[in-house]
Amino acid sequence: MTQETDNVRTLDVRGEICPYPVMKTREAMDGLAPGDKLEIWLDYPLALEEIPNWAEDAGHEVVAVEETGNSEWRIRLKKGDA
Amino acid sequence: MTVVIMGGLVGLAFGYALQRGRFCVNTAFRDVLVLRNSRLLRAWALAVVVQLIGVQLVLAMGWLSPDIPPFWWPANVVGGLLFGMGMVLAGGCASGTCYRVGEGMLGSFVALLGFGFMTVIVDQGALHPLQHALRTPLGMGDSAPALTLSGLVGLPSWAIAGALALGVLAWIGRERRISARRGWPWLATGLAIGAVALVAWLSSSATGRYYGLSVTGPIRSIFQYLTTGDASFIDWGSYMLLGLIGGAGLGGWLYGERKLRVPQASRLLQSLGGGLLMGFGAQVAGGCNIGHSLTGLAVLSGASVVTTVAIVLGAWAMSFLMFMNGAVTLRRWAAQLIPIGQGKPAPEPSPESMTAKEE
Repeated sequence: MTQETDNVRTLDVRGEICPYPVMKTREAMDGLAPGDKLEIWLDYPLALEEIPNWAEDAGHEVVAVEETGNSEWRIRLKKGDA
Repeated sequence: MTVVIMGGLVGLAFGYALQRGRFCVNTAFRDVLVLRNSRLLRAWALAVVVQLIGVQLVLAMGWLSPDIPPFWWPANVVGGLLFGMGMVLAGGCASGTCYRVGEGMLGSFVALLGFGFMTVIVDQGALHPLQHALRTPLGMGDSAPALTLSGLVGLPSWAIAGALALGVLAWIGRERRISARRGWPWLATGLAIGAVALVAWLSSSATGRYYGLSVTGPIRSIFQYLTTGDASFIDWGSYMLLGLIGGAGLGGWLYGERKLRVPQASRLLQSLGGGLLMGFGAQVAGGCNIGHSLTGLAVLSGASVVTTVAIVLGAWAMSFLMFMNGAVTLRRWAAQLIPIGQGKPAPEPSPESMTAKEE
């Protein structure tokens, strides 16, 4: 398990179309150090599946997926060592 | 009235399944390359196989007399390539765009408008000569052959269908569990869409339309009716399409996934451009990722196989350019092929392009 850091970055992809939510998530994760967290705000249902799926494949941890409103969610990812 | 209910109900079920399964062929074809993720590709392959087996059984019973799409190979190739590029630009295939209209995505609605107007422009309007030229290549004349795979290789269609089905079932394997799932898993999505596609053949044929699910024809029929006022354009497919948008809206509403979403202006333009390109490609090719890459494959249509391969290649080319630093890579290849100045090594890629590549 990767040691957690205090660094949390926020990414707002609300309104974005396919596949920008996942692409921007990937880009943002590349700029983080292992243990850093990324908080993604999104409103696109397909990305709600694609982002956690991509993150698990890429060796990151899906910390939480929360509903924040009608068709709005917040996904928290923790960057893995890979 | 029958046609409204028959088409509308199939559309409702189709739209609901598309929305719950997030079934988008654009994502399926694109992400197997860009994200190395084949979840939706598996759903698509399963839907194709379920419908293929079902349709072949129904055909063997003599319950169907399908219209095989004409084999206009230049139209299938050019149309498929442009459609594939257009769907990546628009961020959704023909059916994906329609179900997201039901979810309230303004970008998809703009893409649908571009798609619809372009099909009419190509079929009846200013670009009709282009469609005509692509559909009547030298030596083919006006009557394109309705080529099927079984006619081509000289094997009975059940043998080809069986071989394809076994191949796909061996490949798709088992579903991996994802922790944060809300929609349907790909297995359920593929089965549901395959089943709806099979029912669509029977329902549609009962109203005198001898084909299964399609999206391009129905979109065009609605735009033709709207622009000419001629109600004879409206058929089973038109009501199916309206049902599709309604069914997707229902799925979104039930699960709190429906609201008006407005992207930035540049994305709207991008969606419009993608929609126009998709409309052109799908109209010229005689179908899109549903009419050809789902329904047409079930009757082993040669035109559908060629169009599907072209759609995949078009989608990959556009994904490479847009999401995989394709322009940078192409420039580097070109520089290696054509060294500038004699004896000088090919220019080194700049540091920015190096880091961009590693993404």
